[in-house]
Amino acid sequence: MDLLLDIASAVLLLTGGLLVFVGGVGVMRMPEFFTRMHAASVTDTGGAALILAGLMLQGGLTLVPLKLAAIFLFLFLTSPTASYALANAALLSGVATACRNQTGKQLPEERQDALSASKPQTPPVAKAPAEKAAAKKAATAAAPKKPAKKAARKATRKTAKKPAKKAARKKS
Amino acid sequence: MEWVYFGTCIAILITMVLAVVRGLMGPTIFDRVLAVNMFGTKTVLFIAVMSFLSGRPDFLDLALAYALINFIGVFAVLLFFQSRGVRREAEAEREAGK
Repeated sequence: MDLLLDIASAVLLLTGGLLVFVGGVGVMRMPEFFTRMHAASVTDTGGAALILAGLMLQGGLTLVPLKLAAIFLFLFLTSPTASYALANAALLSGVATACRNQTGKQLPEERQDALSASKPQTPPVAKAPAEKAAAKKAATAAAPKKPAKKAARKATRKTAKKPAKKAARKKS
Repeated sequence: MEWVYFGTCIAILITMVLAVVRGLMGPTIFDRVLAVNMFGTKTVLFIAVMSFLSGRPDFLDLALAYALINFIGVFAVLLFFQSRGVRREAEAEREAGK
Protein backbone atom coordinates (compact mmCIF):
# COMPACT_ATOMS: atom_id res chain seq x y z
CA MET A 1 0.00 0.00 0.00
CA ASP A 2 2.82 2.32 0.90
CA LEU A 3 4.68 1.43 -2.26
CA LEU A 4 1.56 2.01 -4.35
CA LEU A 5 1.12 5.45 -2.77
CA ASP A 6 4.78 6.26 -3.42
CA ILE A 7 4.52 5.25 -7.06
CA ALA A 8 1.34 7.26 -7.62
CA SER A 9 2.90 10.24 -5.89
CA ALA A 10 6.10 9.94 -7.94
CA VAL A 11 4.16 9.76 -11.19
CA LEU A 12 2.11 12.82 -10.26
CA LEU A 13 5.16 14.81 -9.15
CA LEU A 14 7.25 13.97 -12.20
CA THR A 15 4.40 14.69 -14.59
CA GLY A 16 3.84 18.00 -12.83
CA GLY A 17 7.54 18.80 -13.05
CA LEU A 18 7.49 18.01 -16.77
CA LEU A 19 4.48 20.29 -17.32
CA VAL A 20 6.15 23.08 -15.37
CA PHE A 21 9.30 22.73 -17.44
CA VAL A 22 7.34 22.67 -20.72
CA GLY A 23 5.49 25.81 -19.70
CA GLY A 24 8.75 27.56 -18.84
CA VAL A 25 10.23 26.72 -22.22
CA GLY A 26 7.02 27.93 -23.86
CA VAL A 27 7.19 31.26 -22.05
CA MET A 28 10.73 31.68 -23.34
CA ARG A 29 10.13 30.69 -26.93
CA MET A 30 6.61 31.76 -27.90
CA PRO A 31 6.50 34.62 -30.40
CA GLU A 32 4.04 37.09 -28.85
CA PHE A 33 2.39 38.00 -25.58
CA PHE A 34 -0.88 36.08 -25.72
CA THR A 35 0.77 32.86 -26.80
CA ARG A 36 3.21 33.32 -23.92
CA MET A 37 0.26 33.64 -21.58
CA HIS A 38 -1.07 30.38 -22.91
CA ALA A 39 2.24 28.68 -22.10
CA ALA A 40 2.27 30.18 -18.61
CA SER A 41 -1.24 28.93 -17.93
CA VAL A 42 -0.02 25.37 -18.50
CA THR A 43 2.30 25.69 -15.51
CA ASP A 44 -0.35 27.41 -13.43
CA THR A 45 -3.02 24.76 -13.92
CA GLY A 46 -1.52 21.42 -14.84
CA GLY A 47 1.84 21.78 -13.13
CA ALA A 48 0.54 23.20 -9.86
CA ALA A 49 -2.38 20.75 -9.63
CA LEU A 50 -0.26 17.67 -10.28
CA ILE A 51 2.58 18.66 -7.96
CA LEU A 52 0.26 19.58 -5.10
CA ALA A 53 -1.74 16.36 -5.58
CA GLY A 54 1.47 14.35 -5.52
CA LEU A 55 2.56 16.03 -2.30
CA MET A 56 -0.88 15.50 -0.78
CA LEU A 57 -0.51 11.74 -1.23
CA GLN A 58 2.74 11.90 0.76
CA GLY A 59 1.31 13.91 3.64
CA GLY A 60 -0.38 11.08 5.50
CA LEU A 61 -3.10 11.68 8.06
CA THR A 62 -1.86 14.99 9.41
CA LEU A 63 -2.58 18.65 8.91
CA VAL A 64 -0.25 18.71 5.90
CA PRO A 65 -2.75 17.63 3.21
CA LEU A 66 -5.16 20.20 4.55
CA LYS A 67 -2.58 22.96 4.17
CA LEU A 68 -1.79 21.72 0.69
CA ALA A 69 -5.48 21.74 -0.12
CA ALA A 70 -5.66 25.34 1.10
CA ILE A 71 -2.74 26.29 -1.17
CA PHE A 72 -4.39 24.42 -4.03
CA LEU A 73 -7.72 26.17 -3.53
CA PHE A 74 -6.12 29.56 -3.20
CA LEU A 75 -3.91 29.08 -6.24
CA PHE A 76 -6.87 27.97 -8.30
CA LEU A 77 -8.93 30.97 -7.27
CA THR A 78 -6.24 33.57 -7.81
CA SER A 79 -4.42 32.28 -10.87
CA PRO A 80 -7.35 32.60 -13.32
CA THR A 81 -8.21 35.97 -11.83
CA ALA A 82 -4.68 37.24 -12.32
CA SER A 83 -4.57 35.80 -15.85
CA TYR A 84 -7.85 37.49 -16.72
CA ALA A 85 -6.70 40.82 -15.32
CA LEU A 86 -3.40 40.54 -17.18
CA ALA A 87 -5.02 39.71 -20.53
CA ASN A 88 -7.61 42.43 -20.03
CA ALA A 89 -5.00 45.02 -19.20
CA ALA A 90 -2.89 43.98 -22.18
CA LEU A 91 -5.84 44.14 -24.55
CA LEU A 92 -6.98 47.51 -23.22
CA SER A 93 -3.56 49.08 -23.40
CA GLY A 94 -2.96 47.91 -26.94
CA VAL A 95 -0.52 45.02 -26.86
CA ALA A 96 -2.66 43.47 -29.58
CA THR A 97 -2.34 46.66 -31.59
CA ALA A 98 1.38 46.58 -31.03
CA CYS A 99 1.48 43.06 -32.39
CA ARG A 100 -0.46 44.19 -35.45
CA ASN A 101 1.97 47.03 -36.00
CA GLN A 102 4.92 44.79 -35.43
CA THR A 103 3.78 42.17 -37.90
CA GLY A 104 1.66 44.20 -40.28
CA LYS A 105 4.36 46.58 -41.40
CA GLN A 106 6.24 43.93 -43.29
CA LEU A 107 5.43 41.88 -46.34
CA PRO A 108 3.71 38.53 -45.74
CA GLU A 109 6.70 36.33 -46.51
CA GLU A 110 8.92 38.47 -44.35
CA ARG A 111 6.36 38.37 -41.60
CA GLN A 112 6.66 34.63 -41.37
CA ASP A 113 10.31 35.13 -40.53
CA ALA A 114 9.47 37.79 -37.97
CA LEU A 115 6.98 35.49 -36.29
CA SER A 116 9.31 32.53 -36.16
CA ALA A 117 12.27 34.59 -35.01
CA SER A 118 10.45 35.16 -31.68
CA LYS A 119 12.34 38.38 -31.18
CA PRO A 120 10.39 41.63 -31.54
CA GLN A 121 12.64 44.31 -32.95
CA THR A 122 11.49 47.25 -30.85
CA PRO A 123 9.49 47.72 -27.69
CA PRO A 124 6.14 48.15 -29.43
CA VAL A 125 4.03 49.70 -26.66
CA ALA A 126 6.02 52.89 -26.50
CA LYS A 127 5.59 53.30 -30.24
CA ALA A 128 1.87 52.61 -30.38
CA PRO A 129 0.32 56.06 -29.76
CA ALA A 130 2.38 57.83 -32.41
CA GLU A 131 1.52 55.15 -34.95
CA LYS A 132 -2.15 55.37 -34.05
CA ALA A 133 -2.13 59.11 -34.61
CA ALA A 134 -0.34 58.63 -37.91
CA ALA A 135 -2.86 55.98 -38.93
CA LYS A 136 -5.73 58.33 -38.12
CA LYS A 137 -4.21 61.08 -40.26
CA ALA A 138 -3.71 58.58 -43.07
CA ALA A 139 -7.31 57.43 -42.74
CA THR A 140 -8.61 60.95 -43.19
CA ALA A 141 -6.27 61.59 -46.11
CA ALA A 142 -6.57 58.35 -48.04
CA ALA A 143 -9.71 56.59 -46.90
CA PRO A 144 -10.15 53.95 -49.64
CA LYS A 145 -6.56 52.79 -49.47
CA LYS A 146 -6.57 51.63 -45.90
CA PRO A 147 -9.40 49.07 -45.80
CA ALA A 148 -7.94 47.21 -48.75
CA LYS A 149 -4.64 47.00 -46.97
CA LYS A 150 -6.31 45.81 -43.82
CA ALA A 151 -8.30 43.15 -45.66
CA ALA A 152 -5.15 41.85 -47.31
CA ARG A 153 -3.51 41.76 -43.95
CA LYS A 154 -6.41 39.86 -42.47
CA ALA A 155 -6.40 37.30 -45.24
CA THR A 156 -2.74 36.50 -44.72
CA ARG A 157 -2.92 36.39 -40.99
CA LYS A 158 -4.23 33.17 -39.57
CA THR A 159 -2.39 32.65 -36.31
CA ALA A 160 -2.98 35.97 -34.59
CA LYS A 161 -6.71 36.06 -33.95
CA LYS A 162 -6.85 38.60 -31.17
CA PRO A 163 -5.36 41.49 -33.11
CA ALA A 164 -7.87 40.77 -35.88
CA LYS A 165 -10.72 40.94 -33.41
CA LYS A 166 -9.47 44.17 -32.00
CA ALA A 167 -9.02 45.68 -35.45
CA ALA A 168 -12.57 44.71 -36.34
CA ARG A 169 -13.88 46.26 -33.17
CA LYS A 170 -11.96 49.45 -33.75
CA LYS A 171 -13.25 49.82 -37.27
CA SER A 172 -16.88 49.55 -36.25
CA MET B 1 11.35 9.15 -2.78
CA GLU B 2 14.00 11.83 -2.38
CA TRP B 3 15.06 11.78 -6.00
CA VAL B 4 11.49 12.48 -7.11
CA TYR B 5 11.38 15.59 -4.94
CA PHE B 6 14.80 16.52 -6.22
CA GLY B 7 13.79 16.15 -9.86
CA THR B 8 10.67 18.22 -9.34
CA CYS B 9 12.73 20.88 -7.57
CA ILE B 10 15.15 21.01 -10.50
CA ALA B 11 12.30 21.36 -13.01
CA ILE B 12 10.72 24.17 -11.00
CA LEU B 13 14.08 25.92 -10.61
CA ILE B 14 14.76 25.77 -14.36
CA THR B 15 11.32 27.25 -15.01
CA MET B 16 12.00 30.01 -12.49
CA VAL B 17 15.23 30.88 -14.27
CA LEU B 18 13.41 30.93 -17.63
CA ALA B 19 10.73 33.19 -16.13
CA VAL B 20 13.39 35.58 -14.85
CA VAL B 21 15.02 35.68 -18.28
CA ARG B 22 11.67 36.42 -19.91
CA GLY B 23 11.03 39.12 -17.33
CA LEU B 24 14.37 40.74 -18.08
CA MET B 25 14.07 40.64 -21.86
CA GLY B 26 10.28 40.83 -22.23
CA PRO B 27 9.43 43.46 -24.83
CA THR B 28 6.27 44.78 -23.16
CA ILE B 29 5.48 45.52 -19.56
CA PHE B 30 2.88 42.75 -19.57
CA ASP B 31 5.48 40.16 -20.42
CA ARG B 32 7.31 41.24 -17.31
CA VAL B 33 4.17 41.05 -15.18
CA LEU B 34 3.44 37.62 -16.60
CA ALA B 35 6.96 36.48 -15.75
CA VAL B 36 6.68 37.85 -12.20
CA ASN B 37 3.34 36.13 -11.71
CA MET B 38 4.76 32.86 -12.98
CA PHE B 39 7.82 33.24 -10.78
CA GLY B 40 5.59 33.73 -7.74
CA THR B 41 3.48 30.67 -8.48
CA LYS B 42 6.62 28.60 -8.97
CA THR B 43 7.96 29.93 -5.67
CA VAL B 44 4.89 28.55 -3.92
CA LEU B 45 5.35 25.16 -5.55
CA PHE B 46 9.06 25.19 -4.87
CA ILE B 47 8.61 25.89 -1.17
CA ALA B 48 5.98 23.14 -0.96
CA VAL B 49 8.28 20.57 -2.59
CA MET B 50 11.28 21.80 -0.58
CA SER B 51 9.39 21.33 2.67
CA PHE B 52 8.90 17.68 1.81
CA LEU B 53 12.47 17.29 0.62
CA SER B 54 13.87 18.62 3.89
CA GLY B 55 11.19 16.89 5.97
CA ARG B 56 9.82 20.06 7.55
CA PRO B 57 6.15 20.49 6.53
CA ASP B 58 5.94 23.75 8.52
CA PHE B 59 7.24 25.49 5.42
CA LEU B 60 3.81 25.06 3.84
CA ASP B 61 2.60 28.07 5.82
CA LEU B 62 5.29 30.12 4.11
CA ALA B 63 4.07 28.83 0.75
CA LEU B 64 0.55 30.01 1.55
CA ALA B 65 1.86 33.42 2.56
CA TYR B 66 3.83 33.67 -0.68
CA ALA B 67 0.73 32.85 -2.69
CA LEU B 68 -1.15 35.69 -1.00
CA ILE B 69 1.68 38.19 -1.53
CA ASN B 70 2.06 37.22 -5.17
CA PHE B 71 -1.62 37.71 -5.92
CA ILE B 72 -1.79 41.12 -4.27
CA GLY B 73 1.42 42.25 -5.94
CA VAL B 74 0.30 41.29 -9.45
CA PHE B 75 -3.01 43.06 -8.96
CA ALA B 76 -1.39 46.22 -7.68
CA VAL B 77 0.90 46.42 -10.72
CA LEU B 78 -1.91 45.61 -13.14
CA LEU B 79 -4.27 48.22 -11.75
CA PHE B 80 -1.52 50.74 -12.31
CA PHE B 81 -0.82 49.74 -15.89
CA GLN B 82 -4.33 48.88 -17.05
CA SER B 83 -5.45 52.44 -17.64
CA ARG B 84 -2.20 53.56 -19.21
CA GLY B 85 -3.19 52.56 -22.73
CA VAL B 86 -6.55 54.30 -22.44
CA ARG B 87 -4.86 57.44 -21.17
CA ARG B 88 -2.36 57.42 -24.02
CA GLU B 89 -5.08 56.91 -26.58
CA ALA B 90 -6.98 59.88 -25.20
CA GLU B 91 -3.82 61.97 -25.35
CA ALA B 92 -3.18 60.97 -28.96
CA GLU B 93 -6.75 61.84 -29.87
CA ARG B 94 -6.45 65.23 -28.22
CA GLU B 95 -3.24 65.91 -30.14
CA ALA B 96 -4.79 64.75 -33.40
CA GLY B 97 -7.75 67.04 -32.83
CA LYS B 98 -5.56 70.09 -32.40
